[in-house]
Amino acid sequence: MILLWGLPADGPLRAVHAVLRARGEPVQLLNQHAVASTALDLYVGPAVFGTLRLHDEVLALEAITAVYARPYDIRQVPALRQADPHGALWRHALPLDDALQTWIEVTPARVVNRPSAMASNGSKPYQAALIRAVGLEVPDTLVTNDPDAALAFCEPHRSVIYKSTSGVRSIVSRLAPEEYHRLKDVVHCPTQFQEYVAGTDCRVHVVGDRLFAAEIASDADDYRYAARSGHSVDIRPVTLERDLTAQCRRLAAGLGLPVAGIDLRRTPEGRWVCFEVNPSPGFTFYQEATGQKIAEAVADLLAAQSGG
Amino acid sequence: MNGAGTSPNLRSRRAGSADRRGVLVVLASAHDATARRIVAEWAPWNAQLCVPADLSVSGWRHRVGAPGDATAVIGGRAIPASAITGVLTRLPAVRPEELGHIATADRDYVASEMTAFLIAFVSALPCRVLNRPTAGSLAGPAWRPEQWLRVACLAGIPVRTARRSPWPDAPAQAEAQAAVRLIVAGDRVIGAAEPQLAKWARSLAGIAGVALLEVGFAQRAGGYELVTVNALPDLDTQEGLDGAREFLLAGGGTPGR
Repeated sequence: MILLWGLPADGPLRAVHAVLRARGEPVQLLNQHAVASTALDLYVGPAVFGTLRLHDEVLALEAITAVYARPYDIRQVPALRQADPHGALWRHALPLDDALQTWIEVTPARVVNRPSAMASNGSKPYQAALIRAVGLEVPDTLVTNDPDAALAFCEPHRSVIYKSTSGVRSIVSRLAPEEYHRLKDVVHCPTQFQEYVAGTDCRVHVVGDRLFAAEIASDADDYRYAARSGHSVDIRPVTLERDLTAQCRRLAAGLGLPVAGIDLRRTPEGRWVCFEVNPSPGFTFYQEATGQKIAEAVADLLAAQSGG
Repeated sequence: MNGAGTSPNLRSRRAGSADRRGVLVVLASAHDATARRIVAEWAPWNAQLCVPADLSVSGWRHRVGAPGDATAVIGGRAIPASAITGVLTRLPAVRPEELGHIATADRDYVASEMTAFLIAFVSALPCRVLNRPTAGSLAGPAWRPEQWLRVACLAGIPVRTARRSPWPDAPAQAEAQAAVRLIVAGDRVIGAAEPQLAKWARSLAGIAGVALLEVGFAQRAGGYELVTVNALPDLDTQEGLDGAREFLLAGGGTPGR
């Protein structure tokens, strides 16, 4: 049995679900909207076993061979947002969510991806050190709350961007010289500055041993928000050289991620620079633009574990 | 950039750098009385308390790939990474409640940012750290109790099966009570009456990559089984404190006397 955990409207979850159902694979959706009628009874010791109740159906945890986990913050799911935070639903949902997170950490089933493996994205400079360790170049990066140090970093670089240090999503923004007076604000909290690396963006999805690379042409600083900022974006499949693909596979494997989205940029001089690894990539954005069969590959990975 | 407000007294940094003695850093909550006691105990080794509010005093620097160029600011004093002889971490993350000097609306975000910064900063330090941060925690692995049990099982350590059941009709499981508690502190194992328990405690610490760990065993027919694990023990014994200090300083730190 393959279990998909998340919200039914989530793009990657929906795409993988559709592939598995079309193939006739045994698949169940653990729908976060239905949290009130979900329950988990988990035992962890020399063996990991128990039961998962979904409405009237009860699954043996031992029968679940693979999990695709795309859960949203349970507190943000509409059923909870509309409920009393001190009420019964919250008292049920939060421990359940924690128990499910625990189960996907310890189950011998294949999990795409385990929470502990996804954690490196919570500290960008920490993850950058891991990226460097596999031999990939990362942008020159300084995290500081010292305005003088920030200014000394900005001046020699032709252009500098700033973005959040943690996993809190932020729009990557370029810092113009006329904005340097704002650097005094960094004193309150260390802020991450990176040299701006000119070039062409490339998103690499690693799915097990398979690799899907897409080149993104955009005039926006952060192409994810190109449409919002009135910029254009064009995405097409691309083939990477062998050494680079090997580094990408090594990076995903080293982080313990069966599925990963790696953000690269190729400079005009031909250097490759790696920005970060997304441990829960929203690959449908790229799949729809390129026709790459990423959902099929994820389904293959999950089904291979089930022997289906 | 972070535009959160702060009190003026946190904005200034005393000029100068660390004196020639190395600094033993205790990273902790401002409300951690044990941390203050440890700092006082370790005063001969120039221990300094670093609290989250220190991260709002100008001077912190961390450059990816150049850990030797890093600078911390503790108690208003800039301390280069090379002057840090060891770090004891006593908090898994910066909590918003620690940041009374930051505007209320910004506290959650700033706490996340400070935690992310410290994970990168401390994990890159060349000195010894108890326990070195991982991606999910400032103080060693961010494992749930069940993860510790699974790792212990894989290492051949007997464990008591744990149960999590949110079903209201499930019989309540008695809370695991440890009959024997051991603390791994560097090379020492404190509280080990049975050599086998000490061996298991060391083994678990080794697999987890930590040198500070508290484990609890309960008795069962014919022996013991692991019931509790804590990677943030309170270090409430002199022997535990000494073990931790010896470990930190064995990395090259020197007493300042």
